[in-house]
Amino acid sequence: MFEKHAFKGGVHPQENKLTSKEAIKDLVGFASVRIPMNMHVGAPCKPLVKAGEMVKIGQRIGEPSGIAVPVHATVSGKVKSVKKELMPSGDMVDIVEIINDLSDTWDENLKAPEITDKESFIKAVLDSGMIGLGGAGFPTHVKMRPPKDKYPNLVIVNGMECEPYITSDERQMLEMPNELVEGLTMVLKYMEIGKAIIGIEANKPEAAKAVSEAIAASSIKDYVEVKVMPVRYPQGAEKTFIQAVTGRVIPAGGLPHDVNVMVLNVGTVINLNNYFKNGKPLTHKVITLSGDAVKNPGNYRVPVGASIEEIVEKSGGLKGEARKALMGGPMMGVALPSLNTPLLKNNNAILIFDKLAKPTEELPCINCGRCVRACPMGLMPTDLDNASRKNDFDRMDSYAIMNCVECGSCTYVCPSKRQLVQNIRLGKAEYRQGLEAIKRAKEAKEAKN
Amino acid sequence: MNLTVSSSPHIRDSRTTRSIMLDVIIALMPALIVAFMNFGTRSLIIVAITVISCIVFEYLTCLVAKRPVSLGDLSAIVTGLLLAYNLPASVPYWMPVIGAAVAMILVKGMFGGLGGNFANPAITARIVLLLSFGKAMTDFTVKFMYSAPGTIYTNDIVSSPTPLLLMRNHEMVPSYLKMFLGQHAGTIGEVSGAALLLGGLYLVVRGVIDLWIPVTYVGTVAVMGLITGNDPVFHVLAGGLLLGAIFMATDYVTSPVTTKGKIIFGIGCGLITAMIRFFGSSQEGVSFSILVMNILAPHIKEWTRTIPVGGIRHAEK
Repeated sequence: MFEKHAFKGGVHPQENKLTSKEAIKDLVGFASVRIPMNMHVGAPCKPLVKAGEMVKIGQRIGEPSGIAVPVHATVSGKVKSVKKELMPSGDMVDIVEIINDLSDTWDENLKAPEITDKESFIKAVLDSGMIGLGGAGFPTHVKMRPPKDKYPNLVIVNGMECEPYITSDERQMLEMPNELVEGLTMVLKYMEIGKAIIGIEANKPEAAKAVSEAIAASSIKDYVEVKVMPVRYPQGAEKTFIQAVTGRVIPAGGLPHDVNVMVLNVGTVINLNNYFKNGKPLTHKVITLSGDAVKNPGNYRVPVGASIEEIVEKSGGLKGEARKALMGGPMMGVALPSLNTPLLKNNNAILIFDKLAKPTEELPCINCGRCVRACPMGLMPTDLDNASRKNDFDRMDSYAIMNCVECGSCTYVCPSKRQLVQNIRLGKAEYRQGLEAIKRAKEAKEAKN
Repeated sequence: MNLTVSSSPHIRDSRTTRSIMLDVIIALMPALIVAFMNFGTRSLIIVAITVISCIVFEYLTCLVAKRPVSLGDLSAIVTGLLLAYNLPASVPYWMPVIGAAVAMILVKGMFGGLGGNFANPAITARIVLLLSFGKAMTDFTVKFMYSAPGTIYTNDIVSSPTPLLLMRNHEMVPSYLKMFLGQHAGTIGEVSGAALLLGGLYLVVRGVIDLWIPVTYVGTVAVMGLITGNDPVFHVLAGGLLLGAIFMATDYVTSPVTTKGKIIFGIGCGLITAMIRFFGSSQEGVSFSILVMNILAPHIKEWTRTIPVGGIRHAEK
């Protein structure tokens, strides 16, 4: 029944999927939303609206240029302000704040896109404002335009959801399997790809069953395979996911199209289908709200840009004290300094904790090798940690620091509680600067000659 | 509302350095019980002196080096137990104190404390004591009923040659069963294969060690025994091989981390032990082999680095 473990290493933290039985509920009536102009990887959008203007749901309010996707209004009402704010990522970003008029008016110009060929399909994907909803936030249409010499021959749909606590993809697969299949049918048809695999971890048997049944009843049943994989973190991370379901290994510095696959998250496919059918762009997002400080943990559909504080309030509020708030799962999520932070397109969970292990004191490395065995990328995290702490470019280079996917498995298993991935992350930043310095030195030399 | 901001991951495995050391201490307990049965109360006194000295020296080195006092990790207790297990029960009371000073100050403290030592502190201390106080370190005593045949009764506890010495002198050695149960002379912790294997099994089940080093080490000695016409079963059970293979060669700090590295390390320990035992004049195969391989461990690590998934893309210079 199970596939063989095709990627090495990994860890198995407590799953804590507390909300897997909670049906998706709509949270409505948000007082306002604050919509950042770059929720995707790439260039920020240019705001199309000014303070005082009236907008409707689905109306385009951010115009993309370069590698970017449009941003849409997620509530109807009046634009209060357009100004720069500091995001948890550390960037200053243009944010459009809209005061909700609570009329819930959709933009009447929205209609299902006319899709006739590959080009019009990719344009529809761009217009939907879709980005990788698994968490990375890479514009989806860009994946559909690989370089000329790459020919993806396999679509793999990521329903692993390997992070503890998060159940938003699980619920979407369970509640909307037909939308997933319809969306996938469109992708296969217009991307001219003849095979797809949907990968789901074994701790979601009902979702896997629902998806399998929907596939079996569809026109693409001969082209799609559902693979149920044993539970292991970070199986949902793109590189390990590809390796786990296909056995293909992306070369260092490469992208999925280098091994001829296109990776889409289940949420991405379901939301794309909503645009193909109804013309509704990505304005709302299903998230898991969980953690021991949340009164009603559950899966909620909320407008993008809603403040986390208000989402929590609408769900029933907190119990106990909020001491740590995470955007994303406990393994890779970002700890928020404040709950007054807008929800982004690619967020799939908000976790708020009263009791969560405090950052403990680092003890010396005892060379136990647990991090080496846990690393899904075959790296030796202690050596990278050491090289990073010393900012030793040559060792970072020879130990392949850029192969690190920052999954945090090494830090998770470390008995000495060392901040391995934190230092490696800093090391990667130093390494990038080092590369820049080499490039500049080279250019200076060439200019001299 | 005060939110804690920290770097991911936000959850941690419950395993700590302390819990690992505690598991090693638990795994060493069966051998301590056998020691008490074989060598009487004196063995417990030697163990207590060694452990307490190690704790005191660890504390003092931390103070002098202005390092946070690291007694909480329990590693000093592990070193103390292992050092005591490598001493005959008959050594004078001051000798473990010197051994503990060598282990904790010279080998561990001066190289930066836990994780910094280049060799196993207990093994190195044992070798220092052996070379400095050869007579006391080779005067093995045991309860009269477990002594070698022909030993004259002088007391409940008598001096008796170890199986390895009996073998060397072509005298009758104890039966496999007696050796397995530990009913013969030897150092405090090495005598019973049964007790050591039980401890080793516990460590494997608890995920503290894996089998690569012990199996390759013991296996190499056995194979070398077969090749050179020595009794492999006898040599696996005799001397400190099982104590060394299960508890000393697997010391994280001084052994390689990769499977390939562990196999090379284990085979290396086995070859050196076999060479010394089968061709040398000394019986100190286990101690010296582990010390030598400890020193080679950093090189073995470099030879056996893991291969990054997807290969390495080096910077162009």
